[in-house]
Amino acid sequence: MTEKLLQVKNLSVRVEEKEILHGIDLQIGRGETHVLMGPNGAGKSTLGYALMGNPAYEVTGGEILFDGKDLSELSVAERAKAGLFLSFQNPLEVPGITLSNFIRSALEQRTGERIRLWDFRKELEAKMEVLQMDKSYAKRDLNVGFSGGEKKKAEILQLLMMKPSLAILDETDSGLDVDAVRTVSRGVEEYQKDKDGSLLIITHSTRILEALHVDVTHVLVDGKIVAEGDASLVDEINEKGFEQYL
Amino acid sequence: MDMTVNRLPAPTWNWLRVNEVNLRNVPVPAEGQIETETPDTISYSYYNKKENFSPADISGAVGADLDVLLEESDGGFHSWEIASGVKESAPVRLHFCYEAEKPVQNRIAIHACEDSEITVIMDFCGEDAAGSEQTAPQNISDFAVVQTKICAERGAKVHLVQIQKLPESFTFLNDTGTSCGEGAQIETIQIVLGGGKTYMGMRTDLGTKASTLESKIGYLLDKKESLDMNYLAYHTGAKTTSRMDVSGVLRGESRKLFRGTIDFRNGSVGAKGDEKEDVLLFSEGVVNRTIPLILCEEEDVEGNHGATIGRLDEALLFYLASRGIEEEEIYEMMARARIDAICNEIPDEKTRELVQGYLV
Repeated sequence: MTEKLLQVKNLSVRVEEKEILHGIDLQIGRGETHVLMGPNGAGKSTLGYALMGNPAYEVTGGEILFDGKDLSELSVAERAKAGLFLSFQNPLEVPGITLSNFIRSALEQRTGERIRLWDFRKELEAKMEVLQMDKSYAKRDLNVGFSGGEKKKAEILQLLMMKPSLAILDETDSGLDVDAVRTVSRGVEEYQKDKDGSLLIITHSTRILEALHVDVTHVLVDGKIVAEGDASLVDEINEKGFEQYL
Repeated sequence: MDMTVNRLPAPTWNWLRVNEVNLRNVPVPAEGQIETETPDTISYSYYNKKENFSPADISGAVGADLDVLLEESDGGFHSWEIASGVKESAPVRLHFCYEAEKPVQNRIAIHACEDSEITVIMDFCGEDAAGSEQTAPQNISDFAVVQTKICAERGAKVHLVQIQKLPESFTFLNDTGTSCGEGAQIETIQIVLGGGKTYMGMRTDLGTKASTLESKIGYLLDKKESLDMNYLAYHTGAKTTSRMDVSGVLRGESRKLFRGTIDFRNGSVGAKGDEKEDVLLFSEGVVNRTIPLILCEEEDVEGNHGATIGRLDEALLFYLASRGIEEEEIYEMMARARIDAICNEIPDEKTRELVQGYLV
């Protein structure tokens, strides 16, 4: 039996005065890839933010256990240190901090140890090659002036370098052209291979899933999981859309 | 002597206490020493009046009282001149090291002839007197003044970089005045990383067509340090542009006042001026004040002011924290990032390293 890395039990989440998620149950085992699909406004990103601990998203009911620990007691940074990672739909620009320095600082914060620059650079360049990123991006300020595709690649680069045990990819394929989706997808595959990492892929399209092995598919509509199935559910939604669940 | 400095060109309510600064019992400084390094293509002379360029005729922004103080002091202008058409990438380096209880001043003149390009880098550091206690505010003894006058002729480009890391006991007056010929470009970078009381002023006369000013200021203030600034861009030439980017961090009980004036005068048709401020406040005890002033005598001009002041944006905090970085460390990173972003634009590796060394 697969050990459950993430257990979400009857989770309800409110943003400002409005409840967005109503009693979500979700379990992700180690090494599993789950897909969360749903129409716009279903609450997919809300689930990602709530798992990561965004203070704007208030958990009003239920619990989240990660690796057996209750996440409600942990800050955002502590959740990241525990092995949770969120790839942002709209990564923010951070002037003055280079992509390379940011990743190195984050890694050092996580481990509490200094990282040898030579080893770090070598690994960073190897991962950038997988993502077909020009090496010059490492020295550029984080996401500043990056195209939409480069921002998403920078997110996946962080994923590959930080090697979390569970990565939540929030609409990583949105706004990308076919080639960029393929490259990002290659990066995600690398993560799966490298670390036996678990994935929760939030998407409302299926392009990023084409090259990935999917274990479980969840369909979220109006803040509730309305259907679950294996990878074939992705194909079904691809063909028929969400209409049958509305 | 008593002095009034950094006077706002168009005064506001007196009770706001931002119109000017009054300094009491300012000692008359002696002329200080400078360590210099000058590329072969640039000529150095100790100032004596020249036919074409008289630094004293260019106004600064700290004010007339500073000129009186400097006239009382015994000293002239150290002058660097680059000939027409010569573009020198190696910088003129000026190193100022101030000692406690020895008030000093230096006057610097930079003359860039037509279509030339020159970079001048100044760094100001100081030594605390061993065991000395900070002087009472009314008695300024750890005191230094630098005044820089720049004449950029038609098509010339001048890069001025100033790095300040002074002890807390110091009072420092730093005045710059610039005059621009047609199409001349002035680019300044000033980074303040320490100094008890700093008064900075810069006046740029954009008097001829298409001349430009790009001024970047970065500061990290802590404890009871204060930084008082008066920046003036006078647009009289058509299609002139000015940009002031001020970015910094206030910690402890530090204080900052930025007066940024863009003055579009008759004749400045098609001119553009921008002021942008970004201040990160680290504690409740800091005092942050800003007086953006945009004056217009001409219709076809564009003046903008934008400011981001306060704590970090929640969305940014969440993004950085989601990578495992604690809030305290995020603030440290972002404080450093403000200086790094300006530091990265210094056109000299050695100076970038100097700044990085100060930040460690």
